[in-house]
Amino acid sequence: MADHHHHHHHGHPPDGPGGAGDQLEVIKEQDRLLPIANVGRIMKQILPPNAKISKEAKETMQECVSEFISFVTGEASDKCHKEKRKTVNGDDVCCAFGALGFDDYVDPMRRYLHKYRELEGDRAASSRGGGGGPAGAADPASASAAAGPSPSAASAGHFMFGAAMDRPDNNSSAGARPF
Amino acid sequence: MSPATADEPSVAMEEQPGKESEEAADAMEEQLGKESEEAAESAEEVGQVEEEPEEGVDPAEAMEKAGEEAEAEEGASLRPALPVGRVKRIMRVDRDIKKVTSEAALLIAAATELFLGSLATGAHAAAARRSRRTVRAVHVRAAARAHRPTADFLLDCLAAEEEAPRARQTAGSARGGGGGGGGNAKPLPRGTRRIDAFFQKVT
Repeated sequence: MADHHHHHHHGHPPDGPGGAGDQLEVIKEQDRLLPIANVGRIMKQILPPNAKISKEAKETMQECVSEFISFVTGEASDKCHKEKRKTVNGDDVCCAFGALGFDDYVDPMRRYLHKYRELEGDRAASSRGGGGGPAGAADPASASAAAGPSPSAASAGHFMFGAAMDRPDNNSSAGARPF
Repeated sequence: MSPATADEPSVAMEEQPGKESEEAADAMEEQLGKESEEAAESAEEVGQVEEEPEEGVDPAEAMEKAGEEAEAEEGASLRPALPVGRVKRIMRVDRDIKKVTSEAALLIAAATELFLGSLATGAHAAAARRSRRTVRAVHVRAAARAHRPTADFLLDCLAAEEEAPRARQTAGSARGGGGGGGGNAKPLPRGTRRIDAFFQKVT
C-alpha cells in the first residue's frame, strides 16, 4: 500500500498577505499558493451571480487547492519511484486520482490527457509540415457541432470538459459535477 | 444576438472554409474582452492581478495556443484557468519531485480547477444552509470536511486554520443555530446541488 505522506510545507500561517516588510516571505508565499485572483474568479464563475465570497474564504480555498496539488503530486511521484522512473507524467497523475479516492476525476482526466496528446500530435505534424495547409482545413461536422452547443459552452465557461467528455448533453455534464 | 452568433459560423462555412480564422478571431476577441473585464474586477478587489505564468518558455504555453486554435473547431478549450507555471512550482515544492512533464502539470491544473469548483459549490451550499449570502472560510472548511477524499488530506491543514478563528467560529455557530431553522424553510439557490446527505455527517 502506498504511503500517503502529507506535505507540511505551510509551516507558517498566511498572516499579513500584503507583507511589505519581508520581501523573501512574500516571494515564498507567492510560490506556495495559486494566485488569489485566479482562485476568486473561478469561485465566482461557479457560484450564483448574487453570491458573495469573503477574502478569508478565498485564502482558505488557496490553501485547500495547494494541498490538493501536493497530495496528488506526491501519489503520482510514489508510483514513479516504484517503477524506477524519474519523471512524473500524465498517466501517473491519472492513476493517482483513483488511488486517492477521487474516482470521479479519473475518466475526465483521462479524456483531457487524450485530447492534449492529440493536440500535441497535430502540432508536431503541422510543425514538421512547415505549413498549416491541411491542418487549417475546415471540418464541416466539427464546425456544425461547435455551432450547436455554443451557448452551453459559453455558459460552461472554464469547464473545458464539454468536448473532452464527448457528452452530447451539456446540461447533464454540468449537473454531474464531481464532489 | 445569440441567434446571430449561432448563424454566423454556418454562413461563414457555407461561403468558404477560410472563414474559420475569422471565427477563431471572434472567439479570441470575446475571450480577451471577458478576461480584461474580469481582470479589472479582480484588480479592484485584490489590487494585484497575476494572469500569466512567470516561466518564460514553456511547452504548455504553446499548447495553450494550440488549444485556442482548436477551440474554433471543437467549441471547447483545453486551456486551464489556473497558471500552469505556478502549478508546476507547487508540484516541485516537495524536493523528492525531480521532474514533471508539461502534460502532468496541465492535468493537475485542470483537476485543481474541478476540485476548486466542487469545493466552492459545497461551500456555497453550506452558507445557504445557514442563511448566509456571503461564503466565508468556515463554509469552505465545512465543505472540505463533508467530502471524504478531501477531508483525508486536508484534516491537518483545516485543524490548524480552525484554531486561530475559534472565537469567531463559535459566534458563527451560535448565529448559525437560529439561521439553520430559517435555512431549512428556504429553498436552495438556483444552480446549487442538493447535498444534504454530506452535511448530516458534520451535524
